[in-house]
Amino acid sequence: MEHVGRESADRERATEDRGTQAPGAAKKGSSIVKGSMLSMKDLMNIGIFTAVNMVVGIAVAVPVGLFPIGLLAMSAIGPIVSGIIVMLFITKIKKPGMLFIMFFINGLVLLFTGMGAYALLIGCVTALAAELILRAGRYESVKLSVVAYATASIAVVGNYVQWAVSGQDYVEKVAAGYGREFAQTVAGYFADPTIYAVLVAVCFVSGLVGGVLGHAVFKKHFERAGIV
Amino acid sequence: MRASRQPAAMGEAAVGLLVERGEQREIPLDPRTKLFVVLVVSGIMIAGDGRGALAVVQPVLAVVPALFFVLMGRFSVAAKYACVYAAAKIIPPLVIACSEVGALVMAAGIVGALGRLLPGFLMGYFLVATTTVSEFIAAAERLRLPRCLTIPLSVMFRFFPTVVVEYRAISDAMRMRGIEGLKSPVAMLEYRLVPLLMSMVVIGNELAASALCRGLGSPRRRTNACEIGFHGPDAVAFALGALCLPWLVVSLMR
Repeated sequence: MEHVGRESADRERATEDRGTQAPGAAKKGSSIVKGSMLSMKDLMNIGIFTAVNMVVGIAVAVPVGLFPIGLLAMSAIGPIVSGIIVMLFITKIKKPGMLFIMFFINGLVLLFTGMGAYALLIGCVTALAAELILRAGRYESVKLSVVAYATASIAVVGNYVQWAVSGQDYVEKVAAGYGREFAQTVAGYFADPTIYAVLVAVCFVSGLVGGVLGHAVFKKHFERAGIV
Repeated sequence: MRASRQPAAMGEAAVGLLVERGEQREIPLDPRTKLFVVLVVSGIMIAGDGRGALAVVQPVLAVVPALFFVLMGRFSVAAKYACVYAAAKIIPPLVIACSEVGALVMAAGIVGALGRLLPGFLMGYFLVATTTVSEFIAAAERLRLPRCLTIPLSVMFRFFPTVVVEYRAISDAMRMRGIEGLKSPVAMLEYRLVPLLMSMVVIGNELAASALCRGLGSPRRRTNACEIGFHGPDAVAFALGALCLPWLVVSLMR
């Protein structure tokens, strides 16, 4: 039954694409997936999911990130929460470029909210890697989707890189905004470089958890409600 | 204030990118100029650390959002902003200087941080509230931004208020059912995030249908009803913004 559902969804998507694409676009699309160019509707969906992801992210990060230990804990909490959103997003669109655009816009916003350029750079790299993983699974494999999401989650580490790279300067900058105690406590966490390896691992693992959770929620609610 | 917000209002007349209430005066600036000014000001205000020359530049630039809100005719917003910003600038250093209590210092730091973010948020609000979707897309086309960036961006801005309104409604409904607090985070996720995503998907489908009906996916070149272009005020704004560019670089790099 599940199989039938997916097939009909695919047909629906294919007709939709024919309807909305520019005539020249179909030729350019690669042969991996039928109708694999992003249509107007997909682009709008990217905007919607990016907005939801960002609002939920802010709603979680602001109360949690105000405390030094919470800032560190965000690397575990963030990927789990947005797992539900991104997994639905991946399952809904299944086209090359969707994750990259989402994380690129996210990174742009982070850049101008004071997280520095590293969040954008690392976000682009991890999102590209995630795109390749999705592609390897032909956008259908659930396992690879979860792995791709976990890979993209590593971008969260980008928010911490400034603590190490800019060193004392950045500590001063944060001290000016959040108070010295906060800055010193956090700088203490990042004094040892191995913390980054740990953070990458934590992000990846909680990304996996978030992806699995997201897929479970997807099966339980979204698929049953027929919104994909 | 809450009553005047329309829940998930679709098919609004073309007002700002953000659905805006009440009347406001037009700002005689090209959207590209506004974007430039917003990026410069909020970049310096949010990313800057307030040391060295920035100690002078930041308070000066903090006037810019207030100025724009005055020009928009939203005097009360400008006045409130001025008070809050002044308080956030003056109170935390006093607290930190006088007190040794950890929690108090931390709280002062948080207030200071909010004060730092406020001008940037108001600039962003100014941009999305005074630029129509049509103007935004026209400007983005002139800037040669690819469609795969401009469409998600404009939809995203359009959706921020919708997400918040929908989330509030869901929160209210869940509170009535007694699902609240942090006793069970997973249930919180499931009972709030899932309905939110459901309604977002539905609203998104409606928005897409309406946009496609109006020819968004058409292969023809898009024409614009609104005229955008650079005039005198733009030159002034650009000149002033360009003056601040070195500090933007300093703020972002450090």
